[in-house]
Amino acid sequence: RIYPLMRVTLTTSDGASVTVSRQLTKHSGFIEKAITDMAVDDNAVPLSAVAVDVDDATLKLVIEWLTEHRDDALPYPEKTDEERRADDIPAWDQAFVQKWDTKEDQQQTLYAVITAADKLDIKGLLDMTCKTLANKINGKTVEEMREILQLECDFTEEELAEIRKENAWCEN
Amino acid sequence: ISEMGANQNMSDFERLPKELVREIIERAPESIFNLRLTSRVLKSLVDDYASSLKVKIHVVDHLCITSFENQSENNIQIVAHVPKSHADLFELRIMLKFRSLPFDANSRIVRSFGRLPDHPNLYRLTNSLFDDGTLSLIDCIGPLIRRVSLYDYMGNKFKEITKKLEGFEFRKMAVTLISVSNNTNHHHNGNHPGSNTDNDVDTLMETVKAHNLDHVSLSVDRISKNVQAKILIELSKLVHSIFHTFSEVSFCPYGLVPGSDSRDDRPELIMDIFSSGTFNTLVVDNRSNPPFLSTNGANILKQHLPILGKKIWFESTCDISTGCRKETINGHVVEVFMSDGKRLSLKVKHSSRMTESHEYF
Repeated sequence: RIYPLMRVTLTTSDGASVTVSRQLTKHSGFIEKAITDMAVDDNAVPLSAVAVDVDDATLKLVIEWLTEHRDDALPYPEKTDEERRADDIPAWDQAFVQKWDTKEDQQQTLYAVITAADKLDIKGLLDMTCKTLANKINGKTVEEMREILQLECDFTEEELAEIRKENAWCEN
Repeated sequence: ISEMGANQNMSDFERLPKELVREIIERAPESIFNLRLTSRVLKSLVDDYASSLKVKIHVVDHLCITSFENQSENNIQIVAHVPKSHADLFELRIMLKFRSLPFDANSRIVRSFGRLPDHPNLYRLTNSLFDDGTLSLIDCIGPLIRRVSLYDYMGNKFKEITKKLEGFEFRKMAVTLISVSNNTNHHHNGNHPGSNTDNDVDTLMETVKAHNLDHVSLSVDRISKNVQAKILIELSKLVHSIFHTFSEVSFCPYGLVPGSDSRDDRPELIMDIFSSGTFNTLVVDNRSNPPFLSTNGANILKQHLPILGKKIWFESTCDISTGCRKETINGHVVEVFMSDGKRLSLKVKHSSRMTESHEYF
């Protein structure tokens, strides 16, 4: 049972404290487990602070996303094979990512949010951010992929030729 | 992986936990070949992802296993139907798996690439029944399959081919046998080609239980009446739906005589079947046989099936004198219709299930 007015204090990896509603934290498997592990009465307010291994700036983005998705159904539905597509990101989520996923940022924030979603066990946010990154590489050439993901080609020409041969077999 | 140790040269993407990179690759399945060419670390991660059988997707949609005899040799054929969306992953998995085998497995697999965009790729491997080469294709499938079809054309290899299914999760299975009878005293103890025995019925039930199946399609050329009843009753306690096709009822001393009353115990059998737990679908097709139901039997079921308190779909052939009518009883459409231009069929189907078709399996 979740009390809408009940609030939880989260302490970030860089020492900040953020207080949020249980309505938001119920979407985080990590935070919910931490609260359960405290074995406190649901009416006990305030709860002890929950330490999260996420920095303050990233946590603010996570909270912004959770606020928009506070009424999403739980548990997050398991995707069927057909639903594992990357082109169905809701409009609000796309606009949310576009605000901070700039070319200059070179995916630093996106990686941070993906990692935070994984650590906090927020399945909807993890799904959306992984799709966002997958969309960046889908349909791209090898060179374009290297540029997007800042990868150094560390293969020799012979190794590249061998991989191309293997790929050619697979692609018949 | 030694190159992963020198991570000061790795990009932020390469430094992400392996599980997260997998999540991203899983959402970019058509990019895996190009990703292999980007860097050593990415190639390693993609190959690791492709080789992993923990991937929670149905890479293979339909697996068919067939036993057959060719030039006096017992053979097994395995065909995997792979949807286009997962073909790249499966191709890479095959390549990675087969190149490590001591024999040239690549040359033994026949790959059929569908011409239509939504047509699955087919992968066919034919081997001697006990050749481990068949395992290499099976090892590429992963734990999840949507449906399985088993064809025992040898008539005595059903247990062997069901063993190939160990470790797979699937909910729908189709089984084709040549004949089934309770013939423990049959010629050669039932072990000659063309006769499955009680043991195979036990194997069928064990397989259904082991995989917790929802649906079984059972196609038998010849089946004895009492074994047919036993199988249907036992299966109805384990699954939700059965499609049953047969050509001929035989091997019973008081066998089915066209036009006789020997079919009149079938309404009771069918009512018993539908009384089992959550069982709600039985479709019986016996086009080359006298109809499954007599006129009297069809009339009894028309009255009683709709009021069993379940959303039922029952369908079977019935005598021509049953008469064509369509009515709705307790939310069920009850219809006697010409099924293939020659035979009448009785259908009792809940109105909420009208869109379900015979291609359900």
